[in-house]
Amino acid sequence: MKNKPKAYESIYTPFESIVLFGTIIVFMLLVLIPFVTLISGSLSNSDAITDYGVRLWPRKFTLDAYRVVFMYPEEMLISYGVSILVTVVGTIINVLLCSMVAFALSRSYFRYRKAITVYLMFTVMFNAGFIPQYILYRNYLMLYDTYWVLILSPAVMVGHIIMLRAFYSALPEELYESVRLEGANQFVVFSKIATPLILPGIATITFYSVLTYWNDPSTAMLYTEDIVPVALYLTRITNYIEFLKYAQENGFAGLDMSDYKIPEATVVYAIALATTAPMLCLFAAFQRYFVRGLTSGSVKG
Amino acid sequence: METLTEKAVQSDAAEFPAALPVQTKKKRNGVQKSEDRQLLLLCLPALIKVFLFSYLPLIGLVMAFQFYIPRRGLFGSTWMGFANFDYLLKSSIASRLITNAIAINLLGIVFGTVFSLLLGLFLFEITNKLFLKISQTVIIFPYFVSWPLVGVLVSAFLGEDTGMLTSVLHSMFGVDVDFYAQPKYWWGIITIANVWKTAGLSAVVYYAILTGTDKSTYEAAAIDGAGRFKQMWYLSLPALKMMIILNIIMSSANILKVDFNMVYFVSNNAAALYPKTDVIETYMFRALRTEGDYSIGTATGLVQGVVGLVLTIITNKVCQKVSHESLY
Amino acid sequence: MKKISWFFVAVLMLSLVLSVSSCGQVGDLQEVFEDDGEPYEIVYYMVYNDANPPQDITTVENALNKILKKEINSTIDIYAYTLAEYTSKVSGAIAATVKFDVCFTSPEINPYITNVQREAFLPLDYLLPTYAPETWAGIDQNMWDQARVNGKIYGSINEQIYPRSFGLDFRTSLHIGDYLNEFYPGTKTDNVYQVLEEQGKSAFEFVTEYLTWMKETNRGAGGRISGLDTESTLQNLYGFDNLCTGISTPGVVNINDDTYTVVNQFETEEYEEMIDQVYEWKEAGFLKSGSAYDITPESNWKPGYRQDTCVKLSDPHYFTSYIIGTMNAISSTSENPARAMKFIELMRTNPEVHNLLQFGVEDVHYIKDPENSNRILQYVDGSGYNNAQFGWGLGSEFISLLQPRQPDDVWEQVKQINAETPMTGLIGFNFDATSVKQKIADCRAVTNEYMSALASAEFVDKDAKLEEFRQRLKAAGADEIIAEKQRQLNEYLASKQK
Repeated sequence: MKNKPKAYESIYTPFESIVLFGTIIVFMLLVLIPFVTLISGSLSNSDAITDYGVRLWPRKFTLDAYRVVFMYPEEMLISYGVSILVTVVGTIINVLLCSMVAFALSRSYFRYRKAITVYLMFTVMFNAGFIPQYILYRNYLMLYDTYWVLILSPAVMVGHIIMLRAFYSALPEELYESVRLEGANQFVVFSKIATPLILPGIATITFYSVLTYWNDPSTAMLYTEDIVPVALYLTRITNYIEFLKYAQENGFAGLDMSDYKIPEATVVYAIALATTAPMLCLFAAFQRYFVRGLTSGSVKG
Repeated sequence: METLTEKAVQSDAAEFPAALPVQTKKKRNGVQKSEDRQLLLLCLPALIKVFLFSYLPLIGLVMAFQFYIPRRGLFGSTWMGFANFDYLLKSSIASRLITNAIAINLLGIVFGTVFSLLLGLFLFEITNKLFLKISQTVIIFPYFVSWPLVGVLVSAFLGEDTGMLTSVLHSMFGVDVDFYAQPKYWWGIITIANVWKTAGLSAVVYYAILTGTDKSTYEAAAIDGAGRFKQMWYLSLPALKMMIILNIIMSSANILKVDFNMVYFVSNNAAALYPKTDVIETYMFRALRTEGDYSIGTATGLVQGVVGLVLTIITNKVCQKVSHESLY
Repeated sequence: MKKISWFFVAVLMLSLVLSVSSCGQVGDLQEVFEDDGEPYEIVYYMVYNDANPPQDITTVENALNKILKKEINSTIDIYAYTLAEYTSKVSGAIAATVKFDVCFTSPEINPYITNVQREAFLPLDYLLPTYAPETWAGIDQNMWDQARVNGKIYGSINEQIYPRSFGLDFRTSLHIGDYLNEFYPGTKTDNVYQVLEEQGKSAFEFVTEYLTWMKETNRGAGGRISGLDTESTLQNLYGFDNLCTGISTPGVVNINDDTYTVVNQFETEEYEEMIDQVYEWKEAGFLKSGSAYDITPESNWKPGYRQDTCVKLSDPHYFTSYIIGTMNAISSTSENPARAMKFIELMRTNPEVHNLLQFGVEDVHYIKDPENSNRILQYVDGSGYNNAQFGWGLGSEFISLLQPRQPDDVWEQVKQINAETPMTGLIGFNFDATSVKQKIADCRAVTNEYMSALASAEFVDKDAKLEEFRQRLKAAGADEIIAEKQRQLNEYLASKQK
């Protein structure tokens, strides 16, 4: 953005402005409308929306759905606590481990550079899949229903290492050479010299990492029971609804599946919003740093 | 989780050449050796983590050649040779999983690239700071949303009675469509959700790259009387060409890999939609959690892994040809 | 590259270590177990039939422990999972050979055959008669045969209603009550089918007439039906027994067919009639709407269940899949299977144990009717435990407390139906699907695409789609499955005649 736009650049022909602004505004609307629908749905009367469907404006405005959701708020608060804990600890571990590896891999004089890169990349291309993983985590690593499985299993994301490596590589080589000649310890170079210089990069990765941890339902779906992060909180409800629908359509021999109430759509919308809205606001507030990190990261290459 | 990593790999590996000369061949002196040791130590925690969580499970792949019985363990179960793969190929399962994965990925690549490019190029032409800021914030927003929430959003549109689209179709056109019972729409719906969630971020990345390019050529072009769209076509697009090509090549290496969370949550895991939404990841998931065919599930995973590995090696070669640099 | 191979060596070494630790030649499943009488903690994976897991399971466990301590010197540890999660949680535990004792199983939920094949359950042929004599004696031998896989029983059948009748829930007691009063005076929801039989009317005609009447009298919401359920219509109404493979696998036997011919249910006239009926309703504008007052195709009728609105539209019949509809099994990881069996017996014979599991603790989770000690007056709101909807999975429904709206003699009615309905010759026959496993998977994929769409009139060109459906089933190997079913059935019938 260093290049100041010249005056002629801000003059648009009518056709141009319609196409340019029009396209972007349409896309913005496409992004926003679903959220508006969801909010409106959660504020509607549930009978009204079963009869007429959700609209952009609440139908027979009511806070009933939220009353149901917040009748017993403890569960959701606990979920928030779990998610925050997992996200904070997980992000610290992930960013620390990733930056350590990334730093080492950015050193051209590091002997095992190539080997470690291949070692890490291989796991992205080829993995054992859910089943062997499940048995290993649960039987041998004893991680079932622990916080550690949520914290460790997504940690050391290879994509993050590659991004950070680029940041470290972009630092001027002379910087390292001078301290190398003085015989400085590599740990000191990493923590005192290199890392403070790539803080924007660290911030971007932290942001990505927080996002990944916060929005990860599948690890919890597989590996925890009593520890319910918010991503799973919502998932459980949608899974239950899908199960009931399936049961009603297909029937289960010998089981009576007809006496169950499918949770009202409005309540599901309210839960969806309650579980995600606070974090979304937080992300929205911080997103410009994210964009900035992304921008500087991409430009430097 | 998967997309984020892959996205980052795609966008950044393409961006950053890792190539600096390596001096492994030379005899290493004492200082270098101690440096190597220190750097290795820095890597160690991550290496151990990856070993435990990603390499150890590979042993379990032997399941693909067995009829796995949990109580008999990995080495006590009956060996089946290639019978599980045979079963997969002879039944319609393999073809269904592979067709769906390829379709969902191809549609995602094509529409994702088109939309994010269009947006990125258009954003670059916007000079109004405020509009730029607002539009960036808005279009990047879906990227922060979790897939379960996207699933709920989709159901708010397509739900049987309550959905906005279904009820509009019903009341205005008299058409009753039960989307969650009709598989044929779902490649499209998943693609829309995919583009909706990720195109904004890619657009901002494209935009960021463009802002880093030299603007003087644009001025020259403008003086020569090239219109805005001509500039877009002849100047901006070529600036992004390499990245687009690399992105596409790299995505094609992952053609059998589909983001599990995306498919699972957007389709609400509805059984009626499996003909068009079932992919290797969801099949493995079900094999573990409901259908209990551990061995066949593992076999599908193995097929996916091997194909992925081969494709990655090929695409890496292609990338080297195209950009004269290795990706890894 | 040298370093990479170093890592693979490490992987190999570790795999060797793991293989040694997990190898220890495991033999076939044991059958005979003795009870040492020592204190033992039974781990029970229970279905909790609600949207969310219970908040308060400790109170129930404590109350149970007192009884179990006295009766079988045991304590209990309950893991309660909702039905939506049950299969996946137990399946996960089985995959990881987690130690547990008792779990629920049925053809679809925590699938019985699959689990038997992966040796997750113990054979009960010795345990049942030895440690659960009442359970063993209380169920007909034919029915035990139904639970056999390769000659052995792996599940203890729960006592509940076995024969099924076709029924539809009309949802609004006002409308259906008025309708019956007007056109079938003196008829109640549970004997409509007899009157229809006398008049020679079909169930569908009854529904159509009702819907027409609703429309003509302008009664508002409740005048529509949201399609038919293929499984219960073909099975309960037309009497097609699917031989425990589910309706989506081709090959059924009409229970009234003395020759026991296996036919493709999707090629029968009955199936066509059912589809035609749905499309007829669609044309007349009777099909589908979002209202909660419309007739639903959840089509099981049983005594005491929504007696105001649920109309019984066919005779009850025994079907193979409903016999083993709900069972309890003992895990092959159990350390004291004899004790686990005793616990299963207690669920069936000890009303205290059964009702604790079903309703929780008296005065904490529910309040009894002061006038009738066998009836629940009301559940305590937000008490954290209410598994009332799982009576059919806890040994025996017949010792359950009466729920607020159940008639006093509900269990007598059920027992009567169980006793009076004639068994069919099919009960006891088990189909071994191993040889046609892949064809079944293929057929299911095809049925998934067409079945429920046809049953709710989603396709515009019905006839073309039906033809396409049948063609694709044939291509997927429907005929081979049917031939295999017929072959095994003939063998079974021949062996029975000896």
